[in-house]
Amino acid sequence: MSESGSHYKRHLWPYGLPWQVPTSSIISLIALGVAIYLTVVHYVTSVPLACPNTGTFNCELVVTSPQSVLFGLPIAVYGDIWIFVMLILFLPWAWYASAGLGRFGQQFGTWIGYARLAGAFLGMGFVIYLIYLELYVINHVCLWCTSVHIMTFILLITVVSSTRWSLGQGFPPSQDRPLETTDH
Amino acid sequence: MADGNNQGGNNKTGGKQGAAKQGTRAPGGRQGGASQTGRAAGRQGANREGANRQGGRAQTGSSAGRQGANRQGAKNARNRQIADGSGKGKFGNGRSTMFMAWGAVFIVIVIVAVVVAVKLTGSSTTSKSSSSQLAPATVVKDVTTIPLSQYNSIGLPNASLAKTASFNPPIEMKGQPPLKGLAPGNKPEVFFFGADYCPFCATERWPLVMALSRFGTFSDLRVTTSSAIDVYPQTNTFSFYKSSYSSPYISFIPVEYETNQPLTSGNGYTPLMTPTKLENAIVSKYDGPPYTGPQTSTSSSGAIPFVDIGNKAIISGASYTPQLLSGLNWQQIASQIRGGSTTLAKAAIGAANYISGAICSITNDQPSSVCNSSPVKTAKSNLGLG
Repeated sequence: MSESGSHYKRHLWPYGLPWQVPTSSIISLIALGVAIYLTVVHYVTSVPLACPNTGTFNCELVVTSPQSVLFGLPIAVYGDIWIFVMLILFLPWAWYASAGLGRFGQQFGTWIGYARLAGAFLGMGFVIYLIYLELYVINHVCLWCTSVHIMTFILLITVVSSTRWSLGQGFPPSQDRPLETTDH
Repeated sequence: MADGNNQGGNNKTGGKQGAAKQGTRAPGGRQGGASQTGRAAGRQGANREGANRQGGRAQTGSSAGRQGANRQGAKNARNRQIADGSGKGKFGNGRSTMFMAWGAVFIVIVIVAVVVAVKLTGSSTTSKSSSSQLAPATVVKDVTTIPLSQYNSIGLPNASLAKTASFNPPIEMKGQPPLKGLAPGNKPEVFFFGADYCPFCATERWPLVMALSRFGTFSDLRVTTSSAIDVYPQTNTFSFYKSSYSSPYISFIPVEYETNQPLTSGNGYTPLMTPTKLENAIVSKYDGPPYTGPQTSTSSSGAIPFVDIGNKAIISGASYTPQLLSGLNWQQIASQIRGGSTTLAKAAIGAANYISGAICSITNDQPSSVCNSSPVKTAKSNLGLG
């Protein structure tokens, strides 16, 4: 039997769409929006930074601090690059590949899955560093940055919770159901 | 029917026919049996044997059943094999990877919790010792909220006050490019270079804080005293160490490079903040003749405090004598300045007006409420800045 287009679609997600797929896409899109906003604020001084200034919370102090620049580039730019790469890895196509279901083989899916896992931990590691800077060096907290930190953590949980099936290894037996009942 | 659905179903039921069909690829046939074994432990052995048999049959039947093969079915079966631990991926099986990943997440949570908890409990230690402490709120409020009317009524020092207080206004800089690169963003920059031990820095910080507060807001200002073993010992003052400054008009970059704690060797004080290469270059270039005055036999370079106001004006040394602060604690100094009647108040407010005038020359006269005030405009004019 040939793998016609209709057949391919019929088996796109044989056990139903995993919750990680839409969750990661939506959250990474929001995070990308916030990161772009912080980048624009950094470069275009006329763009207002909508953020409360209540002592501890002061976005302007954080995003204009000397620590907001790393190797000559604003940290927001690194955030843009990271979340953009992650957004690609969070595309349904990439999830599908890493579930061992894609057209490019299991090996490719495995690499996609591990790249996503490594990226999620890399992002979280950087977030810990930024939290340290905010609390101990700058002594102020930026709420916009904190929102990105929280989204990074949610993305990490999302990725880790998918490791049983998203490393090119397929779905676990607990999700094993007769395929006839799950055709879409 | 030899499509993927039927194969999957046969894997569940363990039917030999299905296994034989799926067995067009040998691993698939084995996976079908292995997947089923997870359902009931008691059946595992038998099923595994069955799987082996099926695998064996698949070998023989592969040529016959190739037309009915379905790559999707084999892929699914392979997935199950790896997922239930009977097969391993490139980096190990899915279960062990999952445990490692969750373990790493746990470590991440613990690290974040510790970082936040240590901060909240206030048990963090600074990497460098400083004898400064957070400034009392009343002191900060007294000197950062002086009304415009008081700045205007006191104005600039007259000749008599200038002589009494040894008044030393900022110096105009001509033909220099704008000060850039010390802080992110494109705002004009004001650079302070001083040290906690220095009594002249101690004196200068009062009008500097007053003037900068007209253009922005300080946070976490600290108070300290100058060295106990230098001239004008233990002059009470602010410290910019660990403070922050936010302004829509300018960036303020302070460096307090040493504490007020003498080294045990007796030669200098313990280091506090390390200036960057650019900051060192600015001090080397501008904190000396000809910018601070004509070259003479007694002129020196590198005096502190040094304030560079956007390369439009500099301050080298205190704006008035530290003697005016002698014997006064932080609150008494702040109250005197706020009161506006003493020599100290007139000298400090006059110096703040001069500094404000210099800052207005780099902010395009913004904010207008400050820059259009009479003494600030006069100060700008006196400094040759407009």
